[in-house]
Amino acid sequence: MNTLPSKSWQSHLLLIPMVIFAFFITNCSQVTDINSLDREEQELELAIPLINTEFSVNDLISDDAESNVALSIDDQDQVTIVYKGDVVRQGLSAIFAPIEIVPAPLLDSINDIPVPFASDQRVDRAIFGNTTMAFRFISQFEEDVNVTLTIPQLTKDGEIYQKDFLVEYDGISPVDYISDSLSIEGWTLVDNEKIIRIEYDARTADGERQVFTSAAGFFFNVTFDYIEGYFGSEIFDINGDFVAIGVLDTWRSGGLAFEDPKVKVFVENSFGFPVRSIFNTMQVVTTTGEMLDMVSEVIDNNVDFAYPELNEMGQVKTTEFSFTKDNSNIVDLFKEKVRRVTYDIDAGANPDMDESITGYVNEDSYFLVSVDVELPLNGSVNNLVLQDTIDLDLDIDELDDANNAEFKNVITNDFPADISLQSYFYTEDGTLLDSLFQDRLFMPGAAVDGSGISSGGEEVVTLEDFDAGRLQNIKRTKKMLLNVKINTGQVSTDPLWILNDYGIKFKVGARIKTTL
Amino acid sequence: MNISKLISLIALVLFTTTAIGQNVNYFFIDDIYQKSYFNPALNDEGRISVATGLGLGFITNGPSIKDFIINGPNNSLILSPANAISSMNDVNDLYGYSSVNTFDASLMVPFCRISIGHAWKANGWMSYTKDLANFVTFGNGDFVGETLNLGPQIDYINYNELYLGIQKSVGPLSIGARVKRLNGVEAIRTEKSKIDLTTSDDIYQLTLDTDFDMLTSNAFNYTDIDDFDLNLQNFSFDNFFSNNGGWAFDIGASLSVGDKIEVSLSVLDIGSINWDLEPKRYSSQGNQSFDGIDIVNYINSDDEIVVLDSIESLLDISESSAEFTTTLPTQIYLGGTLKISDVWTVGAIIQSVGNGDRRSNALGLNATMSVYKWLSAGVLYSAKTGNPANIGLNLKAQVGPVIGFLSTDNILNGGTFDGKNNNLRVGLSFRI
Repeated sequence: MNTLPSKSWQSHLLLIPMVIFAFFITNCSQVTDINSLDREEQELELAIPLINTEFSVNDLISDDAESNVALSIDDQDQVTIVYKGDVVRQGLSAIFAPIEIVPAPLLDSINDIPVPFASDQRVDRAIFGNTTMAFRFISQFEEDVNVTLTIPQLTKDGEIYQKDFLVEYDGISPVDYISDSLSIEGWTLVDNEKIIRIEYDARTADGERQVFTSAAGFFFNVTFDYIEGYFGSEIFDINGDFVAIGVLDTWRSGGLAFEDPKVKVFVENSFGFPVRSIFNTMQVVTTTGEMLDMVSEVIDNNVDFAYPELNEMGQVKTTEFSFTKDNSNIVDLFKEKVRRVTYDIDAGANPDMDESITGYVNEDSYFLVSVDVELPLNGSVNNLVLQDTIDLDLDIDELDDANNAEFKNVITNDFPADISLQSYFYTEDGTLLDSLFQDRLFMPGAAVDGSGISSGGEEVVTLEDFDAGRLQNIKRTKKMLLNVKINTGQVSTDPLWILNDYGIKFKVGARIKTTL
Repeated sequence: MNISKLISLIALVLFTTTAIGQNVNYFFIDDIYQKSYFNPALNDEGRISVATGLGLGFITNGPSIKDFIINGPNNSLILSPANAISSMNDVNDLYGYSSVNTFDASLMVPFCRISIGHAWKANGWMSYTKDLANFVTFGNGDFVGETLNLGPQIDYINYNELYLGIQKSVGPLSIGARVKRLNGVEAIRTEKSKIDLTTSDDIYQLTLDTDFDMLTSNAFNYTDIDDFDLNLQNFSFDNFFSNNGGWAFDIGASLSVGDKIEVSLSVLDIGSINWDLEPKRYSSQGNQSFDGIDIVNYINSDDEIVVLDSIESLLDISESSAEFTTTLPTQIYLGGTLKISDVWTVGAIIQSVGNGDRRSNALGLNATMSVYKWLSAGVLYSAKTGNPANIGLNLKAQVGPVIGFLSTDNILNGGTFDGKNNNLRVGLSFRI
């Protein structure tokens, strides 16, 4: 059986592979077209979390060594802000300042030099510190002269101070002799008559007692390591200072009332004589620069600072007193926008001028004053507006690609105060660009129980839309102004405590659309 | 079992396995050297033969290329991933291969035929999820409150092979075997691929749950999500006779019954490659979350708040050095032809390719016509998973000692944007 196709059939069948071949070529050519395709623009939406945070009092008011703020939490979890002032300390030199030089002219062989103390001071005993002496003799004698110098009031270990000099004649008259520097550190001066007697016995070779044409002594760097006696009613100028109240810097308007603010003064005294406070200044300074005086019976009556008596030498006595709502106008003062508390407290020695009290000072004696301001967070807030401006650069490249951004804000306010918030974006030159929220963000205060304690707030959810135009506009932001209004009145008309576990939970997520 | 039930069973097996089969149509082209690619026991009739060839293939059960393209203005074509997503399955497989047989040669010597040759081969399989496509194209904004399964699976190798084969005929029975020296160029394989992204409906907190493990050699470098380098090479002699060595074996047999019937059975690519050139393991295990920045940490601090860095750090990938071994996808062919006349020959082939649970099967039924002594054409019907009906064609032309052929398993959509199953084999041989 011949199964080969006829010639006419073959010619027709030949078409089949030709068509097949053409099919191959045509189909393969379609594949090359794909290499030159553009990609369709596609809008892509990313949902990402941005902020997830909780602010507590602890976080808003940093408690660290570099600032002057500390938080005190009591056993009921109630918060008190403590603003610490700088410590002012002054030592012996504040009372008996070193005297650089005390000249002692020796007009005769016996000379009485007045002691370097004030007229109302009685020094029973004084031990010199790092003090030196030197003597000068101008001898008219054309021979060597032996000199013995004695200071009867100056003793050490039972011995009276005595020093020998030799004024040598060198062939030229007169002889100008200057002694070496002589240390009298550790020598005790006993002064009953407020003088230091200096005697010199000058003898020539024949034994005749002579008097020089001119002679003088000099005391250098007159300091004392110990002084005992009565120091009169000297006023010691303790350096004034101030305590900065940072958290109220941003207070713009509205009322803030603290129930029980305090200014606490702490004094350490190791001077051994009675001291009484002298209040030169006790003021608050507001954010507008106004100075308001503290009025208090403490200031009127002054405070006697504790001191170590003679038989308590080496001890440090402490005195504490406070300006409170019960003894001053401090509550009214802190209703103002207080920025700092300034003080200048001097110490008056022997205020009762009782000369029978023998006091003392030594090289370790000091006087220390520190002032703290305590603000227990217990009070009421009446539409208090806080405002601050921070640097914020929103020139972020990614904003160029965004078509739209929707911010979802989820906020929980545990504080027993209504808080409303708005934020404004500004350029460097202060041009207003936009606000963060279309309407002020309102966070209702958490309800309180009969004891004024909040058990936590409810969650508030808001959505804010930013289209491409707004996003491009806020890219020019260089500063952001934050304006916060706080009011406890809607929660309670009674003063409320802020507890340590109160916080504001603030969560923000974003859905950002962009085109690729 | 009657024939209808057998066909149903075969169809069921095919439809339930992942199809990654290669071009089978040229198995039915008579008397070409390249038949030996299916079975080392098969070859042409020349005493001396030299051949070369090229094979390409691509198959997917997901969207075709056409699904990725839409019409734009002025009759232009625009690439649109969004359009393709509607055609995607929840999980989509993609398989491609290419092989360049640079040279093959065989010589008939007393008692047997010796053959040698070189080929460069690359094959890769990738599985990707619709979730991944949605995330890359649209972002996660539409999936708030949901978990997206993003982890892709990849198994890709690229290697050179040098073979030495022997074929021996004993009467109607022919047996053959090849030993192949392999040198890998590059490889990427995922051993674990879990990357689940959950976007919370609160403030869109992101949680990434990963159990991801990927091995690479000479192909991939990762620094962070914005800085990674995927450098796949085409035809390359890299590492020839140096690193990434391996061995493989092919065995086969064929039986001729008279001069009309021939049946053959072979098992190919029994072997593996050990990857030791820049072998790396990239892994990520655990649960990482980003809930937003706690700005309390930045109060009184000069540190810059960078949200994007925090998001990028969610995918915490560690890198370590790790040599690994990949097994070649074993191929099994059972085929036969029946010459029903001087003009027509019919045949069938069953193909099984793959490893482990990733094995594909295909059934092909062919009819080939000798149009002229120098020209033949064949048509193939094949059934593969996701592609139950494919019509293929082959053409062979011979001029003197030179034979050339074209073959595809899918002529209707092959080489077009519509096709999900595209392959092509071309070959040229010379024999005396």
